[in-house]
Amino acid sequence: MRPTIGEQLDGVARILREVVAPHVTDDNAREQLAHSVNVLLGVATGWTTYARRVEEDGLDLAAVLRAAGVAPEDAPDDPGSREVTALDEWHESLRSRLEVVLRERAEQGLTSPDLRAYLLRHTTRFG
Amino acid sequence: MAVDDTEEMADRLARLISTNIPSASAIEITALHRTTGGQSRENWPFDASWTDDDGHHRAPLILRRDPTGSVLETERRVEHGVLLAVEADPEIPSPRSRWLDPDGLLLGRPSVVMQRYDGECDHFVLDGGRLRLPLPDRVRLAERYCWIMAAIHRFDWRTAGLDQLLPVPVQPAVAAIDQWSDVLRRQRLEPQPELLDVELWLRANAPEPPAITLVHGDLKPGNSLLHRVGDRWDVQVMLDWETAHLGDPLEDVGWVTNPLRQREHQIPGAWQRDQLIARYEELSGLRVDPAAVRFWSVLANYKLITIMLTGVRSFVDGTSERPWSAGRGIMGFILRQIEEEAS
Repeated sequence: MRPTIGEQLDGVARILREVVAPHVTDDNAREQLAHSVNVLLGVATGWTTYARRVEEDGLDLAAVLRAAGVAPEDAPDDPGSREVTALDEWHESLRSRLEVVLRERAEQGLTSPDLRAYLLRHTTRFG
Repeated sequence: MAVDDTEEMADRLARLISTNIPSASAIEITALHRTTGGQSRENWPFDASWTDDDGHHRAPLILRRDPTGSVLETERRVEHGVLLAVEADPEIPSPRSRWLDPDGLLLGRPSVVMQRYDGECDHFVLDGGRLRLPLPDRVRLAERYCWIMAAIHRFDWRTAGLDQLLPVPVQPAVAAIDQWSDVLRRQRLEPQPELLDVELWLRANAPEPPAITLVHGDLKPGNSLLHRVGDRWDVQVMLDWETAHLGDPLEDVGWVTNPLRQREHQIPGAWQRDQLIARYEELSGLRVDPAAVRFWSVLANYKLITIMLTGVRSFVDGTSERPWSAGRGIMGFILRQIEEEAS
């Protein structure tokens, strides 16, 4: 559907940068406007792959948790529930479980190279 | 009470002066404006003039006021007190703190007013930066920063009575982990297993301090002003003392040797980590344990992300004027720092 979300965000960022910014005289306001435009441009390029990355990361983490003996919640499989909000909630619940496992292992004096390997993959996906 | 209007702020600054100098009259506040930068505090430079029992005065000043949504939880009372203490030490180039409004009764939010200096701020001066100094001058400046760090650590905080103002930690490393993990737990908006993993590593690797000293907490060229002395550039003043505390001096060493901030503190081939540490050992008389420096360097990045996540919360809550990222790239960097230790 046009304009896409990316096109709309790009367009708003352009208007702010080219039409609004030249008339902003206050230094602080100009700096914050520049930060805001950068955020819009970041979202404009990142939004298309966000849901896929959250799902991929969640499936990766779920597999890691299963291998660690934890039974995680399954991913929402109803297409209607595969909205970003549902994916985010599922992903967040997995990451909460991961925190519990990290703490339990530390209390037992165990290291967690498997969990740390996932954490590194996560930061690469979203870094 | 919110005070954002410049005219209103000028009136209140005049009242701050008359409160602190009861004999002051003809108080004038001019050139007041809010500057950019200062992510943890609002900075409002201004000029003040007044007449009191000692005569007529004119002073370039700067108001540092808590924002509505700060990324850093610090107290203006502590910052003011530390500055008053170190002001007497000629080896430490620190700004003169003039007046304090600890609860924001006059200025709307907790604030401190300091002397304003005219030096240049160049975040990357050692790497070339804006001043583009020749290599020998940059190396001399780098040594000067090291010298100032050692002077701060040599400061006699007991005689200065700073233990009346600041807590004296028995185990500074554990205290720092407790402090920052507590901030993280309060400020985070979602689970942060990466940072929990880092916290667990920090707890397992907390070093004993070689001494308890005054620690600046945010030493970097970007927190200094430079001025010309003859044909050379020198440090006019070290700024941003809001995170100063008593603790392990290697915290500052870990901060300035943090690989993530190498460009700010080191000069490739001329002033690198090992040279900085060797010179610091000479100047401070302290032995630097490499494992302790690594710990403090990891903690520095843990702090940095916690500050960023505090900014994220303030942004989402609508109390910050600036959008913040969650710093996942830095999280990856810290995890790799820890991995290097394990391998």
